[in-house]
Amino acid sequence: MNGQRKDRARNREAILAAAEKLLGEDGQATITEIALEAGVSPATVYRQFSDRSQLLSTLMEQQLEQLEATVGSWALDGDSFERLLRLMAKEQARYQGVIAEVRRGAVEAARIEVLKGRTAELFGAALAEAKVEKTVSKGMTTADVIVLMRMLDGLIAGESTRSARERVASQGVDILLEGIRP
Amino acid sequence: MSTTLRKDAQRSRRAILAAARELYRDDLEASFTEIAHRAGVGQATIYRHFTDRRALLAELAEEDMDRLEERVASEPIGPGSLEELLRDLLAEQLRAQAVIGAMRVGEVEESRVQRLVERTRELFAPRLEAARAAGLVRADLSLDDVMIVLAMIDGALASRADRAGREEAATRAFEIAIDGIRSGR
Repeated sequence: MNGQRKDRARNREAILAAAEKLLGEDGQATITEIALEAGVSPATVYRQFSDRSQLLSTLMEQQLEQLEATVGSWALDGDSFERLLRLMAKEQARYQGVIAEVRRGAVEAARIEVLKGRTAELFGAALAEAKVEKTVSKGMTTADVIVLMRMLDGLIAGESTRSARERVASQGVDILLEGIRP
Repeated sequence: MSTTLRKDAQRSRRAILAAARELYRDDLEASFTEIAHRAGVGQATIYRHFTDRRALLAELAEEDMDRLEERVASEPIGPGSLEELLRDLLAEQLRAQAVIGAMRVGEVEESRVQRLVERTRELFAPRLEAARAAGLVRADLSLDDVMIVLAMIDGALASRADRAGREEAATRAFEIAIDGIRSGR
């Protein structure tokens, strides 16, 4: 039983790593292709994830958990919000394929709402600190964070390679931080 | 082709474009049959003018651009023209959401989209110059930056399915792009 559980956990990890690799880039990979990459059978994938939609949302949750852990280890200061925004932009560039699938409606709306809430929360403390330190304008809200993500997404979606996406996302963040006006 | 025939053809072409514009306002679900019906022309006529939906969409987008260029050209270029054009384009993005969305997902021929991008840049170039000269925008703001702003506003707008939500998101995105996130500058 213990051995079986370990196998299961190992398979799950392999499947998620394969899915991240294949779906992160263009979002098109099928369950069969992911299984092949992970070295398991498609049936094993289906035993752990009922469908592609569940696999996609698990990937997004996993990505968010990593970000939460990273931010949790920071001593927050006035620059943390900007740092987090840059980190998020980079993650968006890396996860473009998954995000594109979400945009196409491949993941249940209810799960997306939960992820949006967690993303806003992730930025909450850093934003509050930045406002106290007056590094970010008073008018910025956590709801604006979602708008910022979508803005960057619109920009990233137009690029076909990861390096181009990272470059353009970074330019986008620069513009967003400064604004157009002097 | 006789003059009358040519005039007829022009008239039906205009009617088809007007009907498509109306039916495509919120989504692109309308079929050629519905568009032909609304335009008061036969099925064969619509296919004579437009081989497929891609061709029709490109034509609509180009018509929008023609109109924008005409309107903008009638006003003198001043320091505030850049922001005015950005606002104009925001309104345009909101209004023609479905057609722009089609371009976004590659439903319009790439070369024609590219030409529209070039025309947009040509519109912005002298206005950016004037705004920079007057010190209304950052001295290092480039034309590429302006195009990045447009893509970002489009991203915010595309994220919402309902018209009110689109307007809210795009308006906020616009404000953030203009003023920036940082304070105390």
